[in-house]
Amino acid sequence: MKESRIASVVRDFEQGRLSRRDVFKRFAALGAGASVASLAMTTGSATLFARNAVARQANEKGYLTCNNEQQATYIQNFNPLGPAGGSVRWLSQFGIYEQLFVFNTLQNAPQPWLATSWGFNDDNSVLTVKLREGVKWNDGEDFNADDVVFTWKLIQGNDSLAGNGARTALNYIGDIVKVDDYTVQFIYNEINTISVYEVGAQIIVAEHIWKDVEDPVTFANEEPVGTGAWMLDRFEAQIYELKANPDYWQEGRPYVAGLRMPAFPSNDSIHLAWLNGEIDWGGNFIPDIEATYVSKDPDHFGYFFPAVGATVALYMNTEIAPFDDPNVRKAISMAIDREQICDIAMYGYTHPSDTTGLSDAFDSVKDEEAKSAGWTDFNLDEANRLLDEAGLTRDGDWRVGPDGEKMSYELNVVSGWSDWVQSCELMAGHLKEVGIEAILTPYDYTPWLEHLNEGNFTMTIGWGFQGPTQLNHFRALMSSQTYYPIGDNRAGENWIRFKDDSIDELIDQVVAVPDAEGQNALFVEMQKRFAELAPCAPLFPGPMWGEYNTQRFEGLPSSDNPYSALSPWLPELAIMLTTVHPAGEQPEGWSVAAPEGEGNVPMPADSASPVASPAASPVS
Amino acid sequence: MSYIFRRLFFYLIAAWASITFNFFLPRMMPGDPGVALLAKLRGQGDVRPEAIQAMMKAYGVSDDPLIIQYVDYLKNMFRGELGISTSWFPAPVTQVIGTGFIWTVLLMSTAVILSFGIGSLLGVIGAWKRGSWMDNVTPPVFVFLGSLPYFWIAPLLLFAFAFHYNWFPARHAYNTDLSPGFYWDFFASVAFHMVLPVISLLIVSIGGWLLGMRNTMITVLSEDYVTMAEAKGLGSREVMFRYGARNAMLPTLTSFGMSLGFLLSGSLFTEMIFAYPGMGYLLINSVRNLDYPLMQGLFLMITLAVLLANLIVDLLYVRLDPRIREG
Repeated sequence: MKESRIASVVRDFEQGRLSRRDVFKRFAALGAGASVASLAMTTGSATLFARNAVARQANEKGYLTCNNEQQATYIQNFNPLGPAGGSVRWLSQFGIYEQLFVFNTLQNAPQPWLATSWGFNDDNSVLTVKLREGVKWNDGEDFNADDVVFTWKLIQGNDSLAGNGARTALNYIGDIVKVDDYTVQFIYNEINTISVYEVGAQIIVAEHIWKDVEDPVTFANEEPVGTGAWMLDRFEAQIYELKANPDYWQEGRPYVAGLRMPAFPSNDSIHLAWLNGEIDWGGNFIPDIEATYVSKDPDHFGYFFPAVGATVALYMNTEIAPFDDPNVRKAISMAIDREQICDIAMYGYTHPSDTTGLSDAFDSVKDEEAKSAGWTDFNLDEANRLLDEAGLTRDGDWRVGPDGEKMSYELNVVSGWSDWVQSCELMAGHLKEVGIEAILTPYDYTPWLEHLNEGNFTMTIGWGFQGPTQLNHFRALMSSQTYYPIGDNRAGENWIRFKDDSIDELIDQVVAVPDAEGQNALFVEMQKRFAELAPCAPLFPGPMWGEYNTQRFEGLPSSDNPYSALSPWLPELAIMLTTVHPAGEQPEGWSVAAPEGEGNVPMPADSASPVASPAASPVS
Repeated sequence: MSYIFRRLFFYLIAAWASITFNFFLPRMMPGDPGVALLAKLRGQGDVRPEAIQAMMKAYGVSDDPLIIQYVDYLKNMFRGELGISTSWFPAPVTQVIGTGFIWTVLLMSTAVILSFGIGSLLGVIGAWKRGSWMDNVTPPVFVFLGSLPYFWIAPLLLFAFAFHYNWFPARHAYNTDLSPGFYWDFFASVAFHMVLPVISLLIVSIGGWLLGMRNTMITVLSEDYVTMAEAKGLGSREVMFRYGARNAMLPTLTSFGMSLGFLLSGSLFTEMIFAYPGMGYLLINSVRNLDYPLMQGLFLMITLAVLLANLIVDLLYVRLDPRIREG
């Protein structure tokens, strides 16, 4: 990395190779600009200037610098149950506090964490979870079943607590009981085996602290007591730091002394810090990353963008003719040159979708037939033929729609999201080739979302819906469970207003199957239905942004070692941060963090009668 | 005296009117705070409808008729309760504003005062030495600089001096390794971090003050009493400042007062580009997230500051301009 001459003098001084006199002489030689530097050097604030110029390269405590929030200043709030999105500090969840198991998106499998094994009984009415022994809260108290039961009862009893999984699972779960100190049972009112992922995701808080909290919703939890590898070290408005938990339950881990999170208000300030080599780990969208970032230090700067995020698709409102005809939707899908969109708008970071609409996270369970139905291939002739057959004849350049008017529709997009805007511009060009006019209509984020929720749109680009299983994808796009008519703005997922009876039946079946193979067989049927009906036109699977800098730390996931995705907002950060180690100092027998446990196994629910759990609801 | 009471009364009415506007205007904006909340969370993966419901309940998005909400708002305002911010839930609005308030006041008042001082001084000297090389060069140069877009100048400064040359810090209000306190290193760090943002603001604003002062100064210099003072044999510097500048300053003082009032709105571009904490960023964020309590809190502070600044300038005018006292 290019260093200015002033910076090299300062570095030499810092490292003791130059005396102050030498510094003066060197600066005199460097000329006018150096007088400021020498003035700064001679006062006690020399260290400030030195820091600025060079010490961006290292911080004395050996903490890993990372970023996931865009904030100008931080407010001290580490409440892991609180509503996410700006108010609660990142790393409260998955860093300071932990969950029962971590779902690894890239491996598409759960990793035992605070729970070692879990499973349903014969009729899927009871989920038994065995907890790990020897885990302690960072104030020394033991972690056990009381904490799990307390956390769930707390959320159950308080409508305003969203949690991060419990709220949805509580639609199906009636009661949570302690069987013994390290076994908990979830009693279901309504069978739903797939909710096990929500049970696993829910963060657990300490009963001995939270039982005295008056209002868990507004509790700022400024000194968090969690089971995780990290504890609060320092909190300022511009930066907060976490230090390694010396009594963390994974022996020897974490290998890093601490984490520091400086405040960045915008993408631009983050990019600047990346280019300067000041950040060690993050997940930002950086355009043309090879040229802008990696080229600055190819030995150390790197990125990993696995396409395992929700698919981005072109959505058409299926309650507006002619988009109610699956052949018209397929034709429009075939008119789109996805390769071009991936290369230009997405800088080659991803690839075209297949006809299941699922991202790469489910590659291992995609049905061959379902994914090659062909209507995501670029085929102008076939597109034109299907549109002709649907009765949408050409009148000059443009086709005529069912209302007798020229086929001209608004294509909604969020203004300022350059990758989407470019994709839409390219698509408008593609659709013109088949005689359909798509007029780019940018909106600010919130109004754009409102239009979708209300169904007040014809075409739009948008993300898909993805969870640990394929259920989220099919339920969001094809099920009456998420359906609301046009005008009803509760449609948070099913914007296209599509429903299919056979999908509904399949969904009812799949939630009663406890094992992955059984579920996948049913999902294959759903994939085939999706390929048959083409409810939308999937464009490309979403890349999960992740960048790293190995100048100071190594061991994060990369394309050489893809043990998980690299993105900092994922629950897998718990794995990443207990695996990373200082550069050049790989610990003896180093491996990716993978706490032991049997995982998902059938668990007959006979065990001893449940023990009444103490003070399950908070003092009000 | 009655003049003062009349002005005070006028300002009280203006304050009430702006407080009322402050309440109704944000609510007339298109958009639903619930959707804004959903929009914010959407980027964090699949957020289920139940979680949204829970959060909307927690945020207290109200369904009461507007007039009841207005009365509650007035009552709370007099008690100094500005409510809880929804975009920084559950931090109270006063805490959120507190994170940016002192930095905005520091940065903007330094910039405004320096720019007014330097601009006016250059304007006075330029008018006095009318026709000299200085008068021919400085106004065009500064007006040209002032018309350059700020969002170009600021990143240019940042790129050149903070990134390429590493002379100045690239972000924040002070070095993140230090904790705020009353010690020299901290103050020095704050000053050091203020250099680039203040310079960027000076570059674009000096031109305005310079021209304004120069023009009023030229008018004043053609007055008889100035010729009289020169004829009496007073030194040119004394005439320039005590007779010329003092009188020429009056119109620019009103603008200065207004600028001081508006400084609380911060400078969004400065804060974004230099990653400097401040109220501009809070303002844009509250608008984006339809965070009514925070928006109201910020607008309230800005309107009261502007009104107060205007009131002070009005009263100061009475002191400075004898013609008003008599008339």
